[in-house]
Amino acid sequence: MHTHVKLTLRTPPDLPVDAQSLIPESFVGKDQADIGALPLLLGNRSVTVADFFDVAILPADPGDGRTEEAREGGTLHLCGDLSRFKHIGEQMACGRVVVDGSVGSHAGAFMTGGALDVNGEAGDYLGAHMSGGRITVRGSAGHFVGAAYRGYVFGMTGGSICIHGDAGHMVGARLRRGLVAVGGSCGDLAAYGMRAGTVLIGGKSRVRAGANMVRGTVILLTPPEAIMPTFRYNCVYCPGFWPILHASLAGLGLDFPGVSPQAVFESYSGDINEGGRGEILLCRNAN
Amino acid sequence: MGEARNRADLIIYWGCNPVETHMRHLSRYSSLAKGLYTPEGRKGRKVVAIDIRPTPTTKGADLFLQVKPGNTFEIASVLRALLRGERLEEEAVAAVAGVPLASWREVAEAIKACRYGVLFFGLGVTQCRGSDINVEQVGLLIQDANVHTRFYGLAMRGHGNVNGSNQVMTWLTGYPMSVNFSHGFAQFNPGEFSVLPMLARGEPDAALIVATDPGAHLPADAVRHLRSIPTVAIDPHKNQTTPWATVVIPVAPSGVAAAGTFYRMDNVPLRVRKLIESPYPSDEEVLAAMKERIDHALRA
Repeated sequence: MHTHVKLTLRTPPDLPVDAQSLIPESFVGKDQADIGALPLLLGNRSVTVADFFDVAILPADPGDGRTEEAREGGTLHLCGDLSRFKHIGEQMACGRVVVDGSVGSHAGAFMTGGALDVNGEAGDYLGAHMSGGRITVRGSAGHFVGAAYRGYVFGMTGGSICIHGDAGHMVGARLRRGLVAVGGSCGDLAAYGMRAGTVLIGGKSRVRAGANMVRGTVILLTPPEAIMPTFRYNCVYCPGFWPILHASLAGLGLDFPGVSPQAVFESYSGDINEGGRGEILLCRNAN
Repeated sequence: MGEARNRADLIIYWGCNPVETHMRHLSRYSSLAKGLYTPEGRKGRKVVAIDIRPTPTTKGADLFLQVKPGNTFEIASVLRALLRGERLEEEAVAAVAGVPLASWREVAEAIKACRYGVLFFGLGVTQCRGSDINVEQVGLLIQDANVHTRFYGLAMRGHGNVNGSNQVMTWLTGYPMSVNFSHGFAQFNPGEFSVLPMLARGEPDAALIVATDPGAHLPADAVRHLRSIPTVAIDPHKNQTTPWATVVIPVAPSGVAAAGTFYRMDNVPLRVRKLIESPYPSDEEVLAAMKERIDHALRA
């Protein structure tokens, strides 16, 4: 038996709200009153969940129960435009958060496990520093997806982020491990300073993809605006892992109709300023 | 800047035009100054200018590289690679930012050959595509140059004492700007807590504006939000903000009618004295009185 809590936003706030308490672990074993009393920070003022949300504890959804994350830690279901709510799902370790609407910045940051499903848009720093778990965004995401905060050497160190729409600048910046996949286009500096891991961009990526990367793989399914002059062309080949990754992404609902599992890629190695051990794979036969 | 005056035999101006923006900079601190180990002044220094168009500063340079806008990061990356001795093939990298690779080789060789080099960079570096990452890459370039010689970088800051608030915030919180105290402790995140993005998202519901003029400097959307919320402007002059600010508190101009400390762009503090009397209080006195009232209200 797992907990299934549904919070429905009554009126979106005008000020930003820090919602670090909106993770499944905060809700397990609590009654409606206790959940309503959980703290939020509106601007610099303490408020409660009940000030913004209608709280309902639902019988376990057999559909959710089928997912491993939901069986372990319960399900938190959020409804409404939560684009002013920051830090949703931050530091969650288990369970599942489903958002029917948009979320603000820092969603899923520092996650160590569980699943965050956003059926809308996500703000900046989605999954920043996450070390485990899975994030899926049906819409677009902001800047710094899976990236590091200022002053940190490593960003995301594990888990996966799957974005069906577009993403902003610095996707996967300083990534250390894990997968970031963007179905649409992305801004400048994708995989900037990446240490290891995989970043995949389905649509057009803007300039400086892979700049200052140390190791890892950047997969570009659409030709970018430009490839950095500090990358060297290697060869054309069919990476052995691509059919597996292709199937895995299809399982997450991310299809690339023009790219087959047998696609051929141009390989570039760089950034030569950081040792040249990273690679950019540019899909050659997009159809 | 005293180091640059006394030691620098290579000066690079990148994305800045100090002849017009920092009028005494060249004669006192950089290319024209005669220093302890640079007695010949301009004759003893090599000057390189990198800019998107000819300016009075580029006209006085030994080497001027006119680059295409928005390529600061690529230029710094290629210079890094050349300094590190990486192989860049002319066929693959014929030109960077519209300038032939051979010219960048010349700059890299000048850096390697100098005894003491200084890179002065301005808004052309910090405010073009990539902004803060450009500065990071320029920092890495300077780091790589120091493998070969002594090499320094200095941002050409604009406006009087623009460095002062960075200094104070750093000694108070450890961060120079974009600091948020809503949790009761300092949080730093440019982009999230910077003025422009916060105004673009419509987050602030009140603003205290001290010694600056957002009405003249910020984009129209940001100003529109500021005009829609209560604002308090503290400024010695009438400007583009004061006509629409909810409350305007006139103060004595610092360095003229109020004493204080200015920070030069190389972080050197300069004490300024009060020259004349003013009927208005100083910024410091106004802010201290406001803080006292707020503390009193919180205790009540």
